[in-house]
Amino acid sequence: MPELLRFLKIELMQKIWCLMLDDAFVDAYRHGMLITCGDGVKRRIFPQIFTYAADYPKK
Amino acid sequence: MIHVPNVNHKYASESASPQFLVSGILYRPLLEVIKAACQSSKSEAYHWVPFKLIHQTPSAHLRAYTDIYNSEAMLEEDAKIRAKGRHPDDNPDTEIAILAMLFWSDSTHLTNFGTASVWLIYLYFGNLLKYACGRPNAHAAHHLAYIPSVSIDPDLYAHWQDCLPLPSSPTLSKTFTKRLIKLQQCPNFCVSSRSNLCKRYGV
Repeated sequence: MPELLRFLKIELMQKIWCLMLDDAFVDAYRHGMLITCGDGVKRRIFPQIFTYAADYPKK
Repeated sequence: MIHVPNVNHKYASESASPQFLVSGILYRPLLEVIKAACQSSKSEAYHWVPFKLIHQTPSAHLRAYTDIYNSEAMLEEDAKIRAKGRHPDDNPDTEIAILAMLFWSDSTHLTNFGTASVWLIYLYFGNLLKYACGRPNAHAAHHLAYIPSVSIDPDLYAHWQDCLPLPSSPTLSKTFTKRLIKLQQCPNFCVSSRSNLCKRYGV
C-alpha cells in the first residue's frame, strides 16, 4: 500500500515538527530569550530559521 | 497517532477518523537544544554580531560573502530585531543576538558495512564558521529527532484498504497550522531539495 505509506510518512514528519516547535519555542522565537552564553555574557537571543533542507519523505 | 481520513467518508471531526499508531519517536525539544548549545563553552566560537567582510584590492573594495554571519540576509534580520526595541525586562547593557538555525533532514547511513540507517532531523547554527560545521570533531550538528520507519502490519491490510482513497494532498493538522501561523513570517525561510537548491546568501 504505497499510497498509505506515503501519506503516513508525510503526516509523521508534521507530527514530529509539531512536537519540536512547541509553545515554549514559539514564545522564544517571537520575544527572544535570555541566556548566559558560554563566554559568560548574558544575551537576549532570537532564534531565526534560515534554511530547511530536507529529502522529501515519499518512499 | 496519525489520522487517516477516507476522502469519501464524512467524519464528525479529525479525531473521529481512523488512527494509525506510530511508536518509537525520539526527539529533543528545540528550545532545550538551543539553550544547551548557547550555554556550552563551544558557543564562544559563535559570531553573535553580523558584519560586512570587505576584500581590499589596490583598485577597489569588494564585498566578500563567506558565511551566514556576513551575509546581507543576517544583517537585515539583525537590523529588524534591533528596530523592535529592547525587551522591558532587560538591562540596558544586555546584548541582542540572532541565532541562525539551519535545519537538515535526510536518511543517513550509520556504518560502512550493512544497511543500518537512520532518518533524522538535525540542526547547525549559522553563527559558527562553516569550516567548523564541517568538522566531525567540532560536534556542531545537533540531533533533534529520530524518525521511526513506518510499516503496515500485513494482518491489517484489509482494514487499511477501507481507508483508501486518501486525501490527494497531505492534510495540515490544526495544531501544526496554528504553530506555523504563530511563527512570524521569516523572509529567509527557504526550502531546498536535491533538485531545487535555493539559499539566500548576500544579495
